Amino acid sequence: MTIPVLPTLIGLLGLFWLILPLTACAQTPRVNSKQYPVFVGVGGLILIAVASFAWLGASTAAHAIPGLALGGVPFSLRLDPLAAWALAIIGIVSAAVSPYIRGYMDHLSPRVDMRVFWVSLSLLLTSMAAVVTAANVQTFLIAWETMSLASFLLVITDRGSSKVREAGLIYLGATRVGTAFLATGFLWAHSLTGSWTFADWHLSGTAALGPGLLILVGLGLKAGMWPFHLWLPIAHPAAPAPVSALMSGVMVKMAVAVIIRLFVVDPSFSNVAFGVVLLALGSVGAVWGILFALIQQDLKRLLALSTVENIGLILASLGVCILASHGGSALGWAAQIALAAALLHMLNHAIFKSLLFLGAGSVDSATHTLDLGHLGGLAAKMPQTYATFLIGAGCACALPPLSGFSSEWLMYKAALIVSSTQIEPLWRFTAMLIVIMISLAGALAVTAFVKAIGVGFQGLSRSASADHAHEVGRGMTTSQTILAALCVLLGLSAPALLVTIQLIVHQMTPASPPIISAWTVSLPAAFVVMAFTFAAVAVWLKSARRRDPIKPYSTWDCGFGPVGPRAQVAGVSYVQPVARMFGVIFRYGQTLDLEGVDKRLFPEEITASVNYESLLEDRIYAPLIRWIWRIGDHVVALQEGSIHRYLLTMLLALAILVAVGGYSR
Amino acid sequence: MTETLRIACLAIIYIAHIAIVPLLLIGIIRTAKARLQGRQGPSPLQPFRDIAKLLRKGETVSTVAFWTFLGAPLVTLAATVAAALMVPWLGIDSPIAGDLLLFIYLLTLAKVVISLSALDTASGFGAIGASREAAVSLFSEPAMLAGLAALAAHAGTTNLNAMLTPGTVTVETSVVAGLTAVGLWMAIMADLNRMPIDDPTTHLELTMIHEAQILDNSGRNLAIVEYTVALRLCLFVGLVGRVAMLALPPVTPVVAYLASLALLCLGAGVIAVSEVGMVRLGWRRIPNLLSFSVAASLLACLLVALKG
Repeated sequence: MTIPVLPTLIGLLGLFWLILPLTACAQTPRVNSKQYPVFVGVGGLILIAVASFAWLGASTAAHAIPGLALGGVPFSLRLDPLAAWALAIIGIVSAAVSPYIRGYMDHLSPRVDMRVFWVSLSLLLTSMAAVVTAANVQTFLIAWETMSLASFLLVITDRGSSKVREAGLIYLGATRVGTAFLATGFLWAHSLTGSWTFADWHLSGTAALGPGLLILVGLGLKAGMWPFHLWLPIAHPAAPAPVSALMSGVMVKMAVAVIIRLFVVDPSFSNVAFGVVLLALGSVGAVWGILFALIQQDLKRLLALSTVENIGLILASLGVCILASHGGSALGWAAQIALAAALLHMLNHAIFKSLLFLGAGSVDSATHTLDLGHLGGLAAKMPQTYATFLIGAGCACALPPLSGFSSEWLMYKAALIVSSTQIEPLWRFTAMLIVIMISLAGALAVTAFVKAIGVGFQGLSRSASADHAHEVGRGMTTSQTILAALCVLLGLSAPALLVTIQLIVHQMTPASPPIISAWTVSLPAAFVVMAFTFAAVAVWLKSARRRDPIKPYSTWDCGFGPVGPRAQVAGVSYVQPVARMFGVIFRYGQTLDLEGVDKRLFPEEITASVNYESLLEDRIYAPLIRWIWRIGDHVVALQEGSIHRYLLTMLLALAILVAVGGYSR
Repeated sequence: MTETLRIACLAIIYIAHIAIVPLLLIGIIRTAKARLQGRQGPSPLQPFRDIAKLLRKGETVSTVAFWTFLGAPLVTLAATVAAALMVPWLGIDSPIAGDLLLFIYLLTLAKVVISLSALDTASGFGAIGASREAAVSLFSEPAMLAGLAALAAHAGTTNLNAMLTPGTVTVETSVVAGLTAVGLWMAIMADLNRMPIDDPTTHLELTMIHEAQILDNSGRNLAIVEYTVALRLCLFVGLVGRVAMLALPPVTPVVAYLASLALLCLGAGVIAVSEVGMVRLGWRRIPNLLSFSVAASLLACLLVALKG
C-alpha cells in the first residue's frame, strides 16, 4: 500500500480535534453546539484507528516533526505499543463519552462560555495524545502543560460558584507543583546524560535515584498517587460530568502511562527503590482512597476517591513489576504479569470510571444534587442510568464476570507467583501481604459502592427533587449504555486483551512464556453455569408467578404502617460500623444533641451528626500551606513598590550569578 | 475421552450433592442443637419440608422494591452454584477447575446482591443488616484470602483442586494446614453470620445481620435465598474440612470422599455446640474476634514464606 495511512490518520485527527473546534470559537458563547460532540466522537474513532495501525506496524522509533523545535530540540513523537495502548484508551473513552456531552451541557450552557469549553476540550484531548507519544522532554513538557491548563479551564467551566473557583485554584496549584518537580527532574537527568530524548536515558543505581524520584513525584501528583492525591477529590467533582469522566478515567492514566514508560518498560530510571516506593505508596493509596470514598456524602467525591484507590492498585502492581524485574530470572514472568495487570486495569478503570461519572452526571442533571442524603428512589425513575451504574459499580468491585475482575485477578496472580517462588522470605511474605491489601481494598470498595447504589438509587426518594427526577435524554443514556456494554465485553474478552498486551510486555524479558498462559481462570465455565442456573430458575419462577401472582405489599414496618423515606438508612449511618473500625485514621466522631425542656425523657429535637477529618490534610498539608502563606507574606515585601528593594534584589541576583559563574568555571 | 467422562461423572456427583447435602446439613445442625438443649427437635429432613412449603406458598413483594429485589435471589443462587462446582468440597476433584480468586469473588457477588436487594426495599432493618454484613466482610474476606493465599503460595498454583490435594506431609505442611483451617473456620463463621457473630435464630430485627437483610423476602423468593445460604455453609465447611485434611497423608478418593462427608457432619456438630454453648458477641467486639482469624492466617503465610 502506498498511501501513508498513519500520517493521514493523524492529519484527520488534527482536523477533528484542532481545526474544526476553531469554528466553535466563531459561535456565540451561550449556544450548545450540535456539531462539536460529533467532532469529539469522530476524533476518538480516528484515534482508535491510529492506535490499531501503530499496533500492527509497531515500531519504537521516534519521528521528529519537521519545522517545529524548541531551544534547538525538534519536537518528536514516538508511537510504540505502550503509546498505542494509551491512545486506544483516550480514543475509546472520548468516542463513548461524546454523545453525552450535548445533553449534559444543556443545563450549563446558559451560564458558561461554551467557546472556552469546546476549545479547552479539544486541547485536552489532543494534548493527552501528545503526552503519551512524546519522545523527548520538550515535546512532553509542552503537551503536559497544555493538558494541565486545558483541564484547569474545564474544571472551572461553571465558575459562577465559589466552590468551583476554589477547586480550580487548588488544582492549578497542584499542577504547578507537579510541573516544578518534573522540570527539575528532567534538567537533572539531562545534566547526567546530555540528552533530551527519553529513549537515550539509561540511568541506574544511585544516579537514577535523584532525578527519578523528582519525576516520579511530578507524575504521581497528576496520577493521584498517595499522598499527593488531595486535589483529585476536590477538582474532579467540580468539573462537568463528561470532563470528570475524561479526567478521572483518562487523564490520570496518561501520567501512569508515562510512569510505565520511564520506570518500567525499558526503564530510563532503573532502581529497586522505585519499586519499593510505588508498591508502598500504591498500597497505602489503595486502602486510604477507598476508605475515604466510603464515608463521602457526595456521589462524585466518592467516585473521585475511588479513582485514588484504583490508581493505588495500578501503582502497587507496577511496584511489584519493578521489584520482580530486579529479582532475577525466576521472577521475570511475575514482572510481566504485574505489568499486564496494570495495563489492563488502566483500560478497565478508564471505562468503568467514565461510566460511573457519567451516571453521577445524569443524576445531577435530573435532580440537581449529588448529596446522597437527598437522593434515593432513582432506580424506577431513571432505569437506564440505574442499570448502567450498577454494572459500573460491579466492575469497580471486581465482580465476575465484569471487566474489573480480570485485571484484579492478574494483580493477585502476580503477587501469588512471587509468593510461591523460592526467594527471600521477606519478599514472599510481602507478596502475601499484597494479596491481603488488594482483598481489603476490594471489600471496602464493595461497601462504598453498595452504599452509593443503595442510598443513591434504591429505596424511596429522600427529597422532592429526587422524587421528580426523570430519565435523562437519549444521547446521555447512549453513552452510558456503550460504556456498560464495554464493561461486560472486556470482562469476557480478557484473554484477547492479554494477547494484545503481550507486545508491550514483551519489551521487558522477551524469553518468558506468553502471559496468556497465566490466565488459568475458568471464567467462561463459571459464566455458563451461572447463566444456565439463572435462566432455569428464572423460567420456573416466571411460570410459578403466572399461576400465583406476586402480591404487592408494603415493606416490613413492624405493624406501624408504611415506612416513609425518613425511616431509610442514611449514607452516613450505612457506613458507620466500618467508619468506627477505622476511626483512628478518620478521627471519626459522632455527636448526638437532644433539645427540649425535659430533654432526657421527651426530646423535642434530636440532632445527630458525624464528623471526621483526614490525618493527612489536617496534620500535614494544612500546616504546610499555612507556612507557605506566611513566607509569602514576607516575600511580597519585595514587590511592594519600594525602589530601594528592587535595586537591592537586582544587585544581589547579579552578585549571585557572577559568583556562581565564577565558581563553575 | 476418559477425561471428558471423568468430568461428566464428577459433575453428576457434585450436582447430586448440591441438591441434597446443604439442606441435610442444616437439618443436622438443628437436630443436634435441639438434642443438646434437651429438646426432641425436628427431623433432619425438616429443612426440605420447609423449602418445599415456601416454594408452594405465594410471594408478597414490597411496592417499593424494583427488579433488583426480584433478581437478587437468582444471581446469588447462580453465583453460589457456580462456586460449588469449582471447589472440591466433597473430597474429590471438582468438575470445573476452580480458581481460588474466582471462587472468593463469586461468593462476594452472591453476598453483594443480597445487600442490594435489602436496600432496594427501603427497609431500615435491611439496611442495618447490610451495613453490618459489610463491616463483618471487611475482616472475614481478607482473613479467608490470606489463609488460602498461604496454601496457594505453598502449592504454587491458584487452582483449587491442585491446591487442596494432599502431597508429602511434613511438620510444616501440617502446621500450615492446621493454622489455615483454624483461621478459615473463624472467618467463615463470620461470613455465614453464625455464632458468635450473629444468632441465626434471633427474633429481634434490630439484632439480626443476615436475617434482617432477607426480612422482606417471602415464598419462592425466600426459599431460593434460604437454600443458597445452606449451600454456602456447606461449601465453606467442606472447604475447611478439605484444608484440614491437608495435614494428613494422601488417601484414596473414596476414603477422601467419605472423610469429607464425615468432616461436614463434624462441622455441623461444632456449629451446633457453639450455638448452644455460646452467647452472641457484642457488636463492637467482633473485630477483636476476627483479628484472631487474620492472625492465624498471617502466621500460616509467614510459615510458608519461611519454610515452604
